[in-house]
Amino acid sequence: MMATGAELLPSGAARLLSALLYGACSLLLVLLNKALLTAYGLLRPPASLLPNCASPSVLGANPHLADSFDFDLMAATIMILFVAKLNKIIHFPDFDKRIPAKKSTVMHRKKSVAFSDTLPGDYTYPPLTLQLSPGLSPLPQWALTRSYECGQACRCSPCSGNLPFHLLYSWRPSYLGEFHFSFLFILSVSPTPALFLSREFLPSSQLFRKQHSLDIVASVFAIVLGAVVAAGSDLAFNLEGYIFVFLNDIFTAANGVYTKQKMDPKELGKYGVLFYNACFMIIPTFIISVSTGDFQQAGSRTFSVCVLTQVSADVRYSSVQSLQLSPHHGRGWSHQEGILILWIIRLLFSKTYKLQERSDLTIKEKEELIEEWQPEPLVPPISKDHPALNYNIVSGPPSHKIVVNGKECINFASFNFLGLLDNPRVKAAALASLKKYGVGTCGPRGFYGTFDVHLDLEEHLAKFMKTEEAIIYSYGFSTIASAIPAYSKRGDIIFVDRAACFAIQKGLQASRSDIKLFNHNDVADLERLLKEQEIEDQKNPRKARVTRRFIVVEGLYMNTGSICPLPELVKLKYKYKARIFLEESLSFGVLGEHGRGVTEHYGISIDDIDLISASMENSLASIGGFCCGRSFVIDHQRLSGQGYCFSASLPPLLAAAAIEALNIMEENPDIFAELKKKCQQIHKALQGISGLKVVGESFSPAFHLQLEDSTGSRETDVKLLQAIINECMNKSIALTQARYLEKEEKCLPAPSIRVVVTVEQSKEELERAASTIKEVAQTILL
Amino acid sequence: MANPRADTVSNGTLYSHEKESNTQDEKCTSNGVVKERQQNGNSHVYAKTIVESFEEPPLPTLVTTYMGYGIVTLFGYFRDFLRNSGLEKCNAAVEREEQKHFVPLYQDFENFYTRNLYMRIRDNWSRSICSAPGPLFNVMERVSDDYNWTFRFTGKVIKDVINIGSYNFLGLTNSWDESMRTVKDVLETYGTGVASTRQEMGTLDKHKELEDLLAKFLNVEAAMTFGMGFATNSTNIPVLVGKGCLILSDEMNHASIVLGARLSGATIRTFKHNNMQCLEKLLRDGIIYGQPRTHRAWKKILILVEGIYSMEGSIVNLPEIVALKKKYKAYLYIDEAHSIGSVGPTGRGIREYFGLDPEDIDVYMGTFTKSFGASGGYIAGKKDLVDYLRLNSHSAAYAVSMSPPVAEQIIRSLKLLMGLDGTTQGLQRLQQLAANTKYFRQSLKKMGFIIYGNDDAPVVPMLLYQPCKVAAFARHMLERKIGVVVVGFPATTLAEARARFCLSAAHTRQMLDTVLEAINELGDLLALRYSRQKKT
Repeated sequence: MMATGAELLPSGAARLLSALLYGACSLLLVLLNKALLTAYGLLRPPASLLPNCASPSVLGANPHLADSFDFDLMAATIMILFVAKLNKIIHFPDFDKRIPAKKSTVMHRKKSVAFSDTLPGDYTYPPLTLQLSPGLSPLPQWALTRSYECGQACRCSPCSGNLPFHLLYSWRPSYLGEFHFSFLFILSVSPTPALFLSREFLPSSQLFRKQHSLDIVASVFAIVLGAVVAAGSDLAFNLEGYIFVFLNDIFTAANGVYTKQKMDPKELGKYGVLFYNACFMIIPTFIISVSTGDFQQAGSRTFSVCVLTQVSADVRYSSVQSLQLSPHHGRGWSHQEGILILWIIRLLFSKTYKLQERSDLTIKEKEELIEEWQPEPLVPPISKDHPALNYNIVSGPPSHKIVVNGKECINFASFNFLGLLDNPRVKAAALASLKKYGVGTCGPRGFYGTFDVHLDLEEHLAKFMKTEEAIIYSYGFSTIASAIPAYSKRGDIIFVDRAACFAIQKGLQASRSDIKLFNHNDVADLERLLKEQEIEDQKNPRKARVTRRFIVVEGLYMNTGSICPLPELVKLKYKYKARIFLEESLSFGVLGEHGRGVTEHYGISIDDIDLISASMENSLASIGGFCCGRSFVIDHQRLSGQGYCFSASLPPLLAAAAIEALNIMEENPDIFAELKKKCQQIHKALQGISGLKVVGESFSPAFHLQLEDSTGSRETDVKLLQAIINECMNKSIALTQARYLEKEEKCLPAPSIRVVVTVEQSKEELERAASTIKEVAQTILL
Repeated sequence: MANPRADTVSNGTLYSHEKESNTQDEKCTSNGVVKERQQNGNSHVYAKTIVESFEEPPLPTLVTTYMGYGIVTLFGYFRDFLRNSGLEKCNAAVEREEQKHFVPLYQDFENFYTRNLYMRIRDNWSRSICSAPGPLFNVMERVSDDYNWTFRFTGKVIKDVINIGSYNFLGLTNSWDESMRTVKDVLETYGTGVASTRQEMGTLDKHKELEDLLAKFLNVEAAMTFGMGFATNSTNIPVLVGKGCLILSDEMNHASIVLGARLSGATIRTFKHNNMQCLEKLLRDGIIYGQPRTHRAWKKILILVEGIYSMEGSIVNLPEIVALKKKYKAYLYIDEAHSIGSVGPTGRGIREYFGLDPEDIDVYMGTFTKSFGASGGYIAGKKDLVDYLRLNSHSAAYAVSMSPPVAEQIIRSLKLLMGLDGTTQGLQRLQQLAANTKYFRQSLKKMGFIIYGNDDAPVVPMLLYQPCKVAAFARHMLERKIGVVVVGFPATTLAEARARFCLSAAHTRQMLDTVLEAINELGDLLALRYSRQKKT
């Protein structure tokens, strides 16, 4: 190593050589760092700059990175200086017991510098800052690290000399051709020059009354301005974090200034100060690292990382030293500065930055490409005999007695639980409405699509459900699919049951929130996820403060026929502060003494549920859906529910039918007990069919018959079940398979026959249906 | 400037070009900007000349508009401060006491606009009516005792308000008359609901009848209907395209199309409203450069447009889009929510309006809410397409099918339009609508208002700009017993708040004159005559 002693004024050639060496070292450093960082996936400054996407784990890693670097740096310093001393390249006094005292006196005199100086050198403070700040995740921690590194690099020479070094340092990644990266890098590093100013420039100029040349002042201020702009546009701007960095730098600067001023180089020599500084501090740093668990973190990376880190630190540090321990006067640096600035200019303007070789296509080539391109057909061809393609055609009303494909059957397929579909009262109410209002509404709710019947229906529903407010949608499917994204946005978290129906799945997708699936009706699994989230939140309380949490469940699950464990869910709700959205399309008008659904079934206060949504297409035998809950929650949908705002409102005759259906439900609460009894009857009667198992609660009016043993292929299963259905249809029992879009479902349920019970089915009919299914299943499956 | 159109011209110049004549006559007017677009792609094939105008407002208007929002915003902050410090009572619904420590359901700023801007003028929306939304309707009078936070119905009814806000293009929405007998019959036999999905047990003979008739009406191979117009887009676009596909969507497309496109997982790129250069560039770039990063070729490219844009009153430049689509082998999905049954010599929508071939469009989508006076939507096209939808549409598998009386209303309307009822009423209504549109648009133009869109579009947006005028206009119109729709931010850009008139075949000349007279008066009262076009 070229040692240019402090006493000797180096020749011009020596200076040039040292500059070249410096350049070469930097280059090596760049390559090494790049290799190191990319190899271990640590190079992700752009991610840390983007808002919200900075996951705590990624950012959390950065301070540790800095810490391990720091530790390595010290070790490297010790090693290099020791080897250099052994080889008699440099000189400083051997260790004796006066040295700690000397150092401590030096330190003692630095009382005014407070915190950072209670520990010698500036190795300690920055890691400490970083330790203190992992909570400040939105701060570009990378910048912190970098500022620290740069601080290290220029520490030895507090005068203006290493400004270009900083610039170069900042530009390092761009040299590797990652131009798009480098801009972000500059942004992330740009606090550094500002701090550099605060650390090196102002104090030293004040303390030493040193005059800086105009161009340096100008460039420093330009950098500072850039830093301010960058900080301003830093999307993850975090005042606390910047204050930390700033404080850190003030302390470091003060330390540097003081050390330079007070420490007599003749006593220990520059290398001596460095060497012993590092020697003393490596122990406490090691202890801190170990105690905070960073060492393990760093250590868990392989040994080679450490070695690479070390080497990189060595190279960097040595090169810095070789340069910076040369004369302190600005004049001596002019060559190097000149070279480096030229280099930077070259980097700025050279074409090697471009990520891709963008050789533009000629027009002819473009035309050829356009000519060549062959799109896929709009829809893939399908076979004409696909089982789902030939719909059952129902002639006449789809009520209790139904004519399917020309054959009269008893309907065990339509969700007409309360038999209100052909209720004369409902029809009469609808007819009266038709006569008054006609059919359509010709506009969304906001633009003269609000009719008095809509308001009546909303009031009725709210009263029936004993909630403050209800809102109606013109389509059942769109109700929950619009309600979820009205509240849950990007960044929020939704915990949802795996068996959730398709409309919920679409709502989740539209919300773009983080979706966490828990096993069907598994409260323990949900709690596990909630706990995981809680731990995650503690790591990043700032983010947790604005992350809404929702639990989305169904009352009775469409896909499984089972009921949700609501009491436990409510407990979890309060424990983990998540809101519950309950989809009650199957349970509304079915469960509970008055048909209010799952809440009534369990005797839970409806206020504990934040939002209940249900379709009016099942029990109420109309069209549309509604949400109900507190006004605080529900009213928001009037401007944010897409299916509410942007769709024409419900035809008044359908609203009138729903009102009348509600009236009937209110007047005959016995109907729900009757339905329950019928469900239990057929549920019991269907037990024990060989080859078919009943899936669903005994009180659920819609449940599934699945194959006990799957044949292994979904297609054959479906065919088998369809054969059973066809045979039942011949025997006047209308059934249907539960249809799913196999490619679209998140967790595709097993194929099944869905049996729907209605109050209109008599005891005998239920009996007959059960025996028919049993009989047919036996002949087909055995 | 918040004007979204790319080809806006800078203030103080006039820009008018007519491709056909190739004469760039600069009709400079001293007082400002007039932008008129006349495009005529190929006059041999289509006789239509697309004339659409989007006139720029005078600069002072824009300045005062933004100032208006600025003042209201500042005042909003002030009031929020008062509310937070307890000096002003906050009327908004509040969180339950037990859940106060939960993460807030709404961020404070999310509701700032609602609380401080919308709330002031909320009485102009969601007005309740208590009659059929025909040409005249009855509006329920309501008052607010707490500055629009809550409303109280007085029980009085404002009778016979002229309805120029509902999309009742053909006037088929009205209270009972004999022609609706079939609807009544269907209601009495079938009831209102279906209680099952299309794929399970919810395909009625009525649905089949409707779909067959619709396919015949649209002159396509097959059609499928769905229970809700909004859901038709949002549940079927994802079936047609997916990951690895490219969607090119007009920036002014309806929320349902946007939602459907998002749910599809395809890459979405938007082009400037009705701007063919922009669309062509996107098409070329899409094919040449393929998918981002991987540079694989797109599986397919789907262009999503609407027939008539309800907020802009413009008509899609279909001939050029069809030419582009053919040239670049893209597919075309057209949402005819506002154009089906309202334009074209026999009401068959935008394709007929331009006289194009039925094969030119791949996916016809439309709704029954507007012209047909019912509800629901359809998708029509090749049989393969419709069969595929029958298998894969989200609505077909999971959503309840269309209510039978609603289906019957559509059948009735279709028969009327096709002349199958044995009358020429359908044609008469269409002609009446076209005449009303022409008369109304021309009259407004003559009065010096800025009107957006195509001369043939029955949706007429009239620009109001300042937010205070939005409220004043709607309130004054109601006082004059005219029900209008006003729209502001966020449905439009911040500066371009507007009133929107929807014409109907059921409007008589007298009604239109009453409306025009009222607008004329308000034009003076509220200083709404922004247009600087030369009155001819």
